[in-house]
Amino acid sequence: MSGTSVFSKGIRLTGRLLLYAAALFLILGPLSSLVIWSLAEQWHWPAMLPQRWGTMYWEKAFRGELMNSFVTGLEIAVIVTGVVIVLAVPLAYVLARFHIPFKALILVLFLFPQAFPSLPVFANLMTLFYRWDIAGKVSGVVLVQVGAALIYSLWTMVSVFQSVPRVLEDAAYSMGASRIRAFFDVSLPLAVPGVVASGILVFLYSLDEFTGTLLIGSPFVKTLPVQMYLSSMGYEMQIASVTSLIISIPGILFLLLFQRFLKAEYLSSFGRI
Amino acid sequence: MVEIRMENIVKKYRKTTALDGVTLTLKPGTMTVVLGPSGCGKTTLLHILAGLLPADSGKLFFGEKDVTTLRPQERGAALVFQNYALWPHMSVFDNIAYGLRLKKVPRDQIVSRVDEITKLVGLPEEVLDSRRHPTELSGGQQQRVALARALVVSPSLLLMDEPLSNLDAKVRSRLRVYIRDVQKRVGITALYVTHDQEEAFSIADTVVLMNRGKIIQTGTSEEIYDHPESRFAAEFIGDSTVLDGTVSADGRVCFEGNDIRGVPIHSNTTAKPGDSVQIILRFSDVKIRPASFEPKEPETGLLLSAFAKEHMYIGAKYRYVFHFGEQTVLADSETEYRDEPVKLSIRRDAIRIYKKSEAS
Repeated sequence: MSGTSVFSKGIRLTGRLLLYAAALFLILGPLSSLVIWSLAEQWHWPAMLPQRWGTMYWEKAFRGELMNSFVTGLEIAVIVTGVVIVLAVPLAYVLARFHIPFKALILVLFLFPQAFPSLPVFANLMTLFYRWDIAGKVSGVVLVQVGAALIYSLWTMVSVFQSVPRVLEDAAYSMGASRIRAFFDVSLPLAVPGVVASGILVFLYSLDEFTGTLLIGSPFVKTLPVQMYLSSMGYEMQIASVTSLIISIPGILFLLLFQRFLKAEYLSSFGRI
Repeated sequence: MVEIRMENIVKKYRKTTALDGVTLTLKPGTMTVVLGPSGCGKTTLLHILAGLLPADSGKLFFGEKDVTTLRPQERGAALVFQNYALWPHMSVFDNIAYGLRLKKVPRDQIVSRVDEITKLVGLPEEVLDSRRHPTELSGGQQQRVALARALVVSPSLLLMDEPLSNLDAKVRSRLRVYIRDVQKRVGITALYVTHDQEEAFSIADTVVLMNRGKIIQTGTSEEIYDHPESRFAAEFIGDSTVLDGTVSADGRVCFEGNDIRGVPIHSNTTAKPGDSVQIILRFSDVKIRPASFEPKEPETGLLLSAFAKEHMYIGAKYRYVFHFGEQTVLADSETEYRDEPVKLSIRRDAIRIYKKSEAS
């Protein structure tokens, strides 16, 4: 009998198909339950699938608070992204081009908000923000998100600026351009893909941000993640599912855009001081 | 065009001295080539002239103006870089026009000036089409764009940092002639840095030889090539070979048992028998003769008996390798000698001898 008979080939193929099926199940399984829940108008235990299917909860969601939360979340994300870029880009340029003492320390400093467990940090901030009277307001949520998201933009932009050849700026200086002029004419245009990529990172972070928004923003500022949490606390599984599906859409869209903008060469010196 | 003067420029990095008191004057309208091995300080000198690096001490004058502390934007020195440094996100036209835009020159004047310069550097008009970007051009064309960009602002000084090193040999030899031509036509004072000797000698009005942060010798191409004044110059210029020899009992310099006659030891130090010396000659001066050769003049220089065996064909010539003891002598000839005894003759004025302990 030869080594690779039809029989053993068949076994291998079946094995591979089973592997793919298992992978799909693990990846899509949790998502599939969300989809089912969002379309379930009536689903009582112990049925395997909903007794009645329908889009009632989708309609209910859109008519209700969901749209407001979505819009609030978008507004906050846009503001946060704008503020972070305006703050991080010049700072990143300075860090990338000049010999700053303790540069490594400064970069690590921005890592802190992500390094510590968020709940105690935000709970403490909550009391502080109450004193400053920005708790429960959009400004408070923006402030807390900017603090945490700066690192995404800063580290990316430092790497991007370091990959822009210094000689291109030297050429501009020898032509008579001031440092600022050269920054806007040469450095920034060449860094735009990096700015866009880090902007996307920050935008997604802000849209999905939960703990800070919940603690600082409540009870007046509600974004989609907060809405989803509140709905699931109230056992409105259908609303929660609809909400979480909506939240995942920007993420998927942007990640597709993101991998188009962020080239390997920009990230090659990510984190290198 | 003004005279460019450097007085005692010193530049130190943490442990090394890149420039050790360099004094040099560039006469207006001339092409000065700074030649030297890697690390000799020539690129540092260029960056200090451009204003991209501050000198630790010393002074710099463009004509009567003291530019030592001026920023690059204020000096009026334009740079051409080894890797072109063209801005990839701007069109070719915008690259060239940049300096003029900064000066707020009116649009129609910019267009005519850019046209003029583009013709001057030998680029076709299509290159100025608004959608053409530098990355679409060949290396030689990109370097012409870089040259155009530098010249369009009529600088007082044109600085070129090994501009042809990234190009292939044919393009290099064509473009260097062109650059020299443009420099003469425009009448601009230029400083050109290179490690390629042929390039340096073929385009320079003045050659400045540098090593380890110091200027070793200045002169015309012929002066430097034919009369190197130091051991370093003798070794660096041309296709030199350095051989070891000794002083024999009767005071003569000896290479592997062969006497060298009529060549004094450099700097006239009294040589004692047994001293080691270094013999520097160019293998283009080593002539291969048939074994029956007898020199016409009384014996001066060096005559070696050898066996021609190892050789390579380098295109139009054969390069022979001869071994004397542990040492190797190379020689070129258009004749092919196969497995036969030959004589190698070197004229005495092609030989330079230095005592071994002498520093270069």
